[in-house]
Amino acid sequence: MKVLFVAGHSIVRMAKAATTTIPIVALDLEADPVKDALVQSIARPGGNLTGMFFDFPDFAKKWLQLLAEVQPNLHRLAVLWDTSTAEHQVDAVSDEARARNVALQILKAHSPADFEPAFDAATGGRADAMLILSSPLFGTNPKLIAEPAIRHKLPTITFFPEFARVGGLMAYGTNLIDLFSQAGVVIAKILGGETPATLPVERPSRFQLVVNLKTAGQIGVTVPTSILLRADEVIE
Amino acid sequence: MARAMAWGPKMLLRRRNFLAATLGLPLLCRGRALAETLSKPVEIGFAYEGIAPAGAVRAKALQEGLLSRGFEEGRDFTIVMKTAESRRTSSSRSSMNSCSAV
Repeated sequence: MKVLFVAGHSIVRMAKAATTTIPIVALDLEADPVKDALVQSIARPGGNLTGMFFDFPDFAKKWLQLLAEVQPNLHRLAVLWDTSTAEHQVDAVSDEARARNVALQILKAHSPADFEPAFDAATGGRADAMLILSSPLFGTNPKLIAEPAIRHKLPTITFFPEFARVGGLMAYGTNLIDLFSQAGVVIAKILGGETPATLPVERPSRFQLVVNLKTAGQIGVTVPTSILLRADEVIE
Repeated sequence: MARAMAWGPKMLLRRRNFLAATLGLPLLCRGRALAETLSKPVEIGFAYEGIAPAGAVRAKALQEGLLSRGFEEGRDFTIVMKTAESRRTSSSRSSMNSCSAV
């Protein structure tokens, strides 16, 4: 017996295309699995793939709201996007930005080498803040993004709590390590005889707001009390 | 009187033990029993878009999820990990003790 565990938007699709028989447990935080035809329904995937998925319309609203509270004059927002992830995230942020009359500057990244030039472009484009979308590329390199953000004195927010712990200004999202542990439980169910076809797709259910006040001081922004009161973790 | 004694503390204790034996223990042992039915370790192919060091931490979390259901690495499964860097990775014994290199 063999089971595949795949984490990341494009690798999930590659696995799905490669086999219809080997059970696949997927972790993809940048997609709607039904829209992307990976499963028939959330409750009953119907094929050889199940797992943890998340898409972002609600989060786009929350991220922009948090940035606007920190940066009341938010008119131009840079958005760092890993193009190997779906466009759902960009669409969701674009809709929310339009509603708030905020102009977007989409900056594409393919590797860590693109981070520094992205910050140069953001400050060159007079961005007031930067939103870093979800991607394994960003989630596993939080420090490489937090450091230039401080140097460029740019308020930032992302989905990965670790980002704020290593020097990013804010993060509102879920603990990735918990999701991998949750995936282990799903795999255990398959080893125990259940099939992906009948194992419902799961979604992250616990979210954390982490704020780094030290970084706020370094980049010269004031984090309002309204955010600090809501924060699960404040780094001083 | 005899009936009252029969349902006294001793009987309740017996009843509790019986319920634990019939309901609780099988649930607790379920993972282990299922694990024992696997004739040989299942290979879990772990493909990850992130970087290798982060992948090792995540593989450990995956193991913990499996262990919480009674499945032990080495005995019940092995993890074969490949990251986006396409590097062949196998971790130390303490973190991923029976991880195969690919």
